[in-house]
Amino acid sequence: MRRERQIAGAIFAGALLVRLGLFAVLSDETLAAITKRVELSTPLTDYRRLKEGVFLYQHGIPPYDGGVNHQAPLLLAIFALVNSISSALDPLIFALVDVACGYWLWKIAHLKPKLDKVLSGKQQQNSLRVAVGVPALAAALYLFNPYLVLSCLARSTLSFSHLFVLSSVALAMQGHAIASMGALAGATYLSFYPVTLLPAVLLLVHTTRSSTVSTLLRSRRAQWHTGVFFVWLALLLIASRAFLGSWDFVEATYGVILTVPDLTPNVGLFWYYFMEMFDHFRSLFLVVFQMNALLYALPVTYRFQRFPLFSVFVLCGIMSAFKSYPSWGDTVLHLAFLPLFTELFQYLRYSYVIALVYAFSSALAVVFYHVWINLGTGNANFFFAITLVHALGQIMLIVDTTYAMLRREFVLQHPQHRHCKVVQM
Amino acid sequence: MAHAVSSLALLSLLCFGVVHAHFDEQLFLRPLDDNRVLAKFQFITQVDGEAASSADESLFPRAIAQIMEAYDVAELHLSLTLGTWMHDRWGYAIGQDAAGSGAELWARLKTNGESVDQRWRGLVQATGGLFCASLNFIDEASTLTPQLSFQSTHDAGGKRNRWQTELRYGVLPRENVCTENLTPWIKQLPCQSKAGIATLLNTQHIYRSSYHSVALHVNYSNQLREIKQTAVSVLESVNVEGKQGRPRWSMYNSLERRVPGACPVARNSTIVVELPNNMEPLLTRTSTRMEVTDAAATTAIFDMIAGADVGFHWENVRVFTGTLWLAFAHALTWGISILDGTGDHGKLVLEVENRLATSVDATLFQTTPWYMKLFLHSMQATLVDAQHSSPQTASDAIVQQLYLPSADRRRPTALEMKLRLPAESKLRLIISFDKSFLKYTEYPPDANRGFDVGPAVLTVDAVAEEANTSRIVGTRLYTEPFLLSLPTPDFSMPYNVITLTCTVVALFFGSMFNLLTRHFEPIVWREKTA
Repeated sequence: MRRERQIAGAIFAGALLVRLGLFAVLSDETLAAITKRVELSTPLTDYRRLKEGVFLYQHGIPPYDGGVNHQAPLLLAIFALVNSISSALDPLIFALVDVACGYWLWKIAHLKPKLDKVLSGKQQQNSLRVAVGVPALAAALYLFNPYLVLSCLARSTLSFSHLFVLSSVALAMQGHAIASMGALAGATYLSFYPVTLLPAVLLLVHTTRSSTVSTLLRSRRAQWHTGVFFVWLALLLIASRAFLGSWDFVEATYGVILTVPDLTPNVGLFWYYFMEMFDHFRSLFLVVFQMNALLYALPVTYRFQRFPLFSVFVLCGIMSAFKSYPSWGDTVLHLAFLPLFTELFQYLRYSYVIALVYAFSSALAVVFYHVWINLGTGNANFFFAITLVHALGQIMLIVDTTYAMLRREFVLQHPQHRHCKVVQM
Repeated sequence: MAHAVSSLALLSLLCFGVVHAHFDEQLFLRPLDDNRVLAKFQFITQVDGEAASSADESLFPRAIAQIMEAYDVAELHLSLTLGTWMHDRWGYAIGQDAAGSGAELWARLKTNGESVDQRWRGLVQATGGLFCASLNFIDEASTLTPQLSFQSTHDAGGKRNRWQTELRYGVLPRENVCTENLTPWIKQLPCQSKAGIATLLNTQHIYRSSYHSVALHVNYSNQLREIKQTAVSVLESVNVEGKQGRPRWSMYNSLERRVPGACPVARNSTIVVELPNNMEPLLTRTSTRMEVTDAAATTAIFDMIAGADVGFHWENVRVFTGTLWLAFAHALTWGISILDGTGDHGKLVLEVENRLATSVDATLFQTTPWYMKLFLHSMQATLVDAQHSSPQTASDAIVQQLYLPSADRRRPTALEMKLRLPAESKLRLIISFDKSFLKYTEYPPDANRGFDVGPAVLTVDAVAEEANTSRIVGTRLYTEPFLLSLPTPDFSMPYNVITLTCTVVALFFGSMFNLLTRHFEPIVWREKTA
């Protein structure tokens, strides 16, 4: 354990140094160019927009009465405070937030074997061998994921949302219900979609050998914790109201997330779809697409009620693929949980294809955006096509891991059918 | 006794036609440096509102009066302009004559309880309809209320400012101005184009000019109704005649019209030629009288004698380019440009240069459409001081700054600054911006041409007094409007995009539905044997 801590410490320190080193080495122009990448910064997480919001706030102009700033007011408050000390501290904050995310992920990886043991009981002891070093590996893969390093260099405020999601899951696994609900409320407050994780996190909080959705629904404590979540959320909103003195921010943040008025390209499916959408069908498809992003929370949690952490993993993937303003940073949160499920790897069918699709879409997204916007030799369809491929890669990963989980579940119950052929009837 | 006589005289004056309405017309001509001639047609109708009889009323254009009353407007300014006024070559346009390219409309509406914005919308529609201009495209996303610029032309606190008014400003840089706008404009004149100076408005020649602007300035109150109509043209060049190549210009050659008779209802009807001293032009015909305007020019005034011609010539061949006929012509230069504007972002550069030896107070007004998102926190202001003696920095030069961020599809950006430009200095402002991506229906039919962004306006407020500079005070300097190219989607794609995206979503939904609702069950599969 001590050795593991040392390794983890080295990884965290390394990640912090790499980030700070890159911030120090790269020129301001390079950093600005990274910040402008649409794959990394969306209108909701763009550092420049945050700075503009802080600037407007500090000059007494209502920061949410305009089309530029769509970020949570308390984030604005934090950066207004930091800016009043020195704006040179910003890179440090983003680097620290990333490392904190890595720490919580490490914590989750540590707690997972215990969780599995509680959930599965003793009869499957033999299948619960946990590879040594998984926590450190998960943290390292997360912190040195190039998507995340770039996202950090772009100073995307998405990492704050990640911090809250990961800490919420970790705290839930440790049984700190109120803190966990608070963190989840924070994540919801920052980027809305983490609200889909609520049932799964509640299940994590109430993990017992026999906990299912139906026992959860009957449980007083679970109801109370749901209440706590909404109280936290209300407190955050009221604090924002008190900070700004008006409710304008609700429309400028959640209104924008839900109605997608800003059609700046990103790696998601919304921007081109709603750019090209016929006006009279716009609201219909907005409802359909937002439902698609939120809909899976209950069925997935219900189906995997014995594996709430897996539900979190799948729902993070769905969020990253179908939220209205996704970026590569969202993909990282999805991929962060992947190393925790090493037991599924043997059941994956398309891992090679998925890896290729991710590599392919990452490389070509940059190229095609450049070809469209700067060179003018391509058009919007190029970038659109690559965002479709990116979404397809994420979808394949979600579907494949879901399949693998179900297959594994079956194998655990029927070890004798381990090598059977699967047919669909 | 004397008292009684004077009372009687006063009474008779009141009974027998004190004229409460005036109509003045004037054509102002001035040779310009680059062999062009400035022609300014000016028509002013004034009706003393309270004492006006029905005969007086008839002088004021009824259509305008109806609009002013229907929307409760105190002040209306409309200009329809083709081309950009070249300050460096033609000197400063005087007072209200400067106008940005395209259509510009600003008005002060009285606050009377009804929604100002709703009345403004009505006013825009009505004015657009009257002058055959597409002013109806000035919607809320391109309407602004300037706080520092475009202040009332009247002295504050004067008797005309008894009510509260609200200012609205709209600009359409893309408006194509042509004869169809001039015809309704002429119709508002008492004599229309049947008599008087308006007969000289020969559309063929007026629109063949380098710069053309028709404007309408209305002040409307119970005490005084005033309408000032101006048409400014920078007419094409002075001809060179004969073997000696004597340059000459005459009205007949330029407009194919001779001096008409005065409009019968006009109180004053004159043709005025301003002769800059350093160019030494000679009048072709003797004027009625001469006046010395200032150190730089002499003015010749002609009465309207039907059939005569007005012109000027020079004895010797002269090259006028480069000879600045007014000392202050280069005093202030003002420009706008875009840096790195090809991609999805860019930088807006505003430059104001003061070449005078004294400091100048000015007000800057810049508006950008909502799809050009300015990042004001990125603004870099630099002050280049030629003398390096002044300790002032850029922040000293910006006395006051007002900023209204844009709101998507609702409101443009407005940036206003009160500037105090030190002597011989140049202020440069660089602001980064992002371009928005629009819905495909929001792009104009020729989307790749780019989007017109209206001109920035610099109003000269005060100049620390020096000879010849007083004429620029109150002048508005417009930059050229510029084109902003926005990234475009593929306009032929709606069905494909809808189909492809929905396929991806359906693929996921189908797979997840399949997985979540099915179970793995062991089944025994017996191979059929023959």
